Amino acid sequence: MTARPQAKKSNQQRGGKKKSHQQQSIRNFDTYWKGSLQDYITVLAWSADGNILAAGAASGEILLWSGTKSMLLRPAASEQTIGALGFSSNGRYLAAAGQLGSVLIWDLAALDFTSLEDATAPSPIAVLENPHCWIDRLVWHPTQPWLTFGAGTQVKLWDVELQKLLMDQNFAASSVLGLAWRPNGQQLAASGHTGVKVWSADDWCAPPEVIEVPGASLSVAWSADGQYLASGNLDRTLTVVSWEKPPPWLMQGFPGKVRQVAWAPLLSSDAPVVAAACQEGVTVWQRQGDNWQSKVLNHHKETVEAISFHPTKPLLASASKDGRLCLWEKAASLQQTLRGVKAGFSAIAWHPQGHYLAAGGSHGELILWTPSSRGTGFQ
Amino acid sequence: MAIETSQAAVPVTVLTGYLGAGKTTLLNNILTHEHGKKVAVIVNEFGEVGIDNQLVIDADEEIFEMNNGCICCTVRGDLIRIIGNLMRRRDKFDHLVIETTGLADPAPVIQTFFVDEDIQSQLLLDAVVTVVDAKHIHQHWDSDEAQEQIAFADVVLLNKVDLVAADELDALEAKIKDMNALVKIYRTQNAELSMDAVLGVRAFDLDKALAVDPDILSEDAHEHDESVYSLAFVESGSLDKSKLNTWMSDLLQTKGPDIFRMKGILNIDGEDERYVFQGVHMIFDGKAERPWETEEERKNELVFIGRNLDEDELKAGLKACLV
Repeated sequence: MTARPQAKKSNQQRGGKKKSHQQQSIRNFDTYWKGSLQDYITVLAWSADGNILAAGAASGEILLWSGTKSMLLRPAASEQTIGALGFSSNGRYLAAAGQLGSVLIWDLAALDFTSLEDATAPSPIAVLENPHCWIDRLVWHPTQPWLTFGAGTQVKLWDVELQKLLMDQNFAASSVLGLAWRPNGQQLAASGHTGVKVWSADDWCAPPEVIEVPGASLSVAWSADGQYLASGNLDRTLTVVSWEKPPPWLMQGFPGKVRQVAWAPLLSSDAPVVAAACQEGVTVWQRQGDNWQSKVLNHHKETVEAISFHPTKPLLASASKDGRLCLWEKAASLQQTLRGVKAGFSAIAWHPQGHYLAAGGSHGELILWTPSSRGTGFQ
Repeated sequence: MAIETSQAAVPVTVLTGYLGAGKTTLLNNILTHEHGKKVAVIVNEFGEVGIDNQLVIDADEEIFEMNNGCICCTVRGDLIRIIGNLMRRRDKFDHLVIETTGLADPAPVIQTFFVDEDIQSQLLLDAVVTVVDAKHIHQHWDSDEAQEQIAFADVVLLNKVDLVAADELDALEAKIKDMNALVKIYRTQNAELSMDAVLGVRAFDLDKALAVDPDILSEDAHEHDESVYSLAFVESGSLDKSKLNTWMSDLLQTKGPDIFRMKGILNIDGEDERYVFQGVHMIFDGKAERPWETEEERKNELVFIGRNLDEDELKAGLKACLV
């Protein structure tokens, strides 16, 4: 989920270096809610308004959570692992896909979230079949009811309301490994072997813009202002592009594959910051002039499985296989280490307004933390 | 290729061979044998895998080029993705079988298990098993894939032996041995054989003492019929470590693409332990193994399998490393 730059916040920042009330209050996080599914939590997603959290698991289960209440939207099913989940921008639709190859879409408009536990799980309104594909990438358009997913080598764009396929393009070089909409909704980036291909909403059939990377691009992300695009690569490199201002930068020296990239929310006073997860470290790159300076965040003892920035603050969460969830203040210094899973963390997701941090574990654990109300007055 | 043989590592069997050679029959024999275990099977196309309750996953052969500074190689992107997904579960599978099509190059499959950090740490490549149709292999000798599937094999099933005369089989076996001096050959009908021959082989495990057939080492130089062949060297004396390093790294840089596999046991000057190593193209893995025994003759044994390999040049290179 891409955080949109918040004008109000930016103004506060521009108004001086003085720390805002809320910023000061986020010192520590307390456990707020715990739940569990039967197996490895593969994916977590919040609705844009922050009212619902969806969790998908290797058991095939999908859980919906809303204000301490939860319901099982989909029960466990053998060999039907859920690998991708996402809410449409208006929060009405939820899409999920995985091992089965079918993309399931639910309309949640009729669901009563105030009494989730008593509600009957609705049936999907659409099932898009993709035989023999293990779907693990799915993203919604930032404003339209358009769902994008990778089915094998095909990049597909489905209009949920018109119930029709708007685009079906072949990535060609490999399966689709990463997908990201530019926040303005005008471009769709897909990553795979040989690089990132960017299609434009003006003409889905026009040949995509290609950003070549050495080897394969595993993960792709746009900065919040859509100015930059980062690609984490299998060949132990990170590619950063300033959109329409080539050539790209190529960051080297990683000890392993760069499995995930995440941009910090844009604060007008600061230079762009991108974080890259590689083995048990997270490398944070900040633009300085024509170049990028890096700093490695070390605390994890095993592979970092997920990284995510707070939607409005330069607070970075990183979760690893050894059961540590680290919070890095200003993406630089360790503020707190959260624990609570038996083995390892597998997924994380910030509430879109930062009210909660959700995490999943490899044994099906689900945990929500909330910023501590102790100390300086968080209400 | 540091191989971590952690106890939890899931063994992987790679099945290769031409369409119709008997791969699916062997796969079904394996699945019957592994009854009660969770076996995941990755196939290129859905065949007649007829065992219930097993996970069969369809994969496309996606070749990724890797160039991460120290090595250039190709890996299978689809395997990285699918195995990554399979490992995301609490109850993991007990055994993974990868069946490739007759036209697949086995090298990227093998290299995937040594290059990708996630796969390397969680799985253990047990053996490459190649099924050869003894009656029809002659039609395929000209193809690179057929030769490479034999060159990369740890185990060859010479299948359908009932359809071929005994002297023809002897000639075929000799030919395969010439191409791959390290392979174990079994003659089968209906791909039936003791499962101990294909499972738990640990062919890539350096902790398992390398066995180099003495007959191969004593063989005289001769003309090789096929473009893919084995060369074996044995030298007494000890090797200078730094000279050996220089020679090996030069060899991998210049001959990497032509060296399919290599294995060796070396006597390093000043070391009490045997140094064992193996390689797949440019990927090299070596370590000090057990100490030399008192009665054991300290010597150096090396086997190369590949193409365009110059026997005299390799022998001279090895000799130049002697102290």
